[in-house]
Amino acid sequence: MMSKDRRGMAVLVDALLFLTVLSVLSAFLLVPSGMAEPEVKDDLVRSFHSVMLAGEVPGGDGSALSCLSLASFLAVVAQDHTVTSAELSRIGSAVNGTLAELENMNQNAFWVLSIDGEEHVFGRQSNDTNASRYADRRLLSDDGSLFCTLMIVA
Amino acid sequence: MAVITASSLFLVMLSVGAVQDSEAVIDLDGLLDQLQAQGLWPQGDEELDVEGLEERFASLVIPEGVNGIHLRYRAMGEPTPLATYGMAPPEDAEVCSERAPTLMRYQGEAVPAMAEVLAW
Repeated sequence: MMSKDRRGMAVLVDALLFLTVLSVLSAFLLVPSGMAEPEVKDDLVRSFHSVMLAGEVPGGDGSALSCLSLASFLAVVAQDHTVTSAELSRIGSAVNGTLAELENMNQNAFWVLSIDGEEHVFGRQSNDTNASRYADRRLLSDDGSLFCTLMIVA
Repeated sequence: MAVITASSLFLVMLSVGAVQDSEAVIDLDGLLDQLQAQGLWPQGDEELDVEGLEERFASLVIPEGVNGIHLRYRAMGEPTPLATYGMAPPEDAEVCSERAPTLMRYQGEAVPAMAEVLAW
């Protein structure tokens, strides 16, 4: 009687172990992995930045600067090694739509323009040191004096 | 025995749920490939011209397994669309969606925009 009980218990324990392992394995296979997220975020910030830089700068006055893409406009502006408030306003008009779109997607986004070491920040800059940051930096001049960075803080 | 039975039922429910989900999913990647080929979805750095979209949408062949699609293009950060094509999905339909940033030529200007597709 006792040995039959022990055999029965052994079979029960084996079955429970088997089912536990199977449940854990199934849960692991069925729950989507979070490993792909950094790649998706990198692609996201890269694609948004490309489109933003290729878009035309609004608010032109019909001059030659009116029909330039944002990247070209920045290169022209940077030739003076400084940027006026009017030019900053036009740049802001060009980038705010993209930043707003990212904010609507629950992504904290901001864009940093650096001209000769002077930085201009557009959007709401996050100081959350615990969050993950995804950045796409574009060098817009050969001498490295002009570059811009689109940053997403997730 | 009760624990084994409960565990088995739990596993079966998980499996059935997973199988049903996989049967219901539309081949969104295939649909996006077709939209790209038709010039209705962003591809690389190419611009989408609003002018030709209606004609291209009219000649789009909806892939098998998809009952309908709705395309929407709007400027970044703006809720109002620049253009929409296709009917809105029925209320009880299971809808897959995708969106992507794109450069659009609108009224002669290159505008940063969002392309959105709903498929059911």
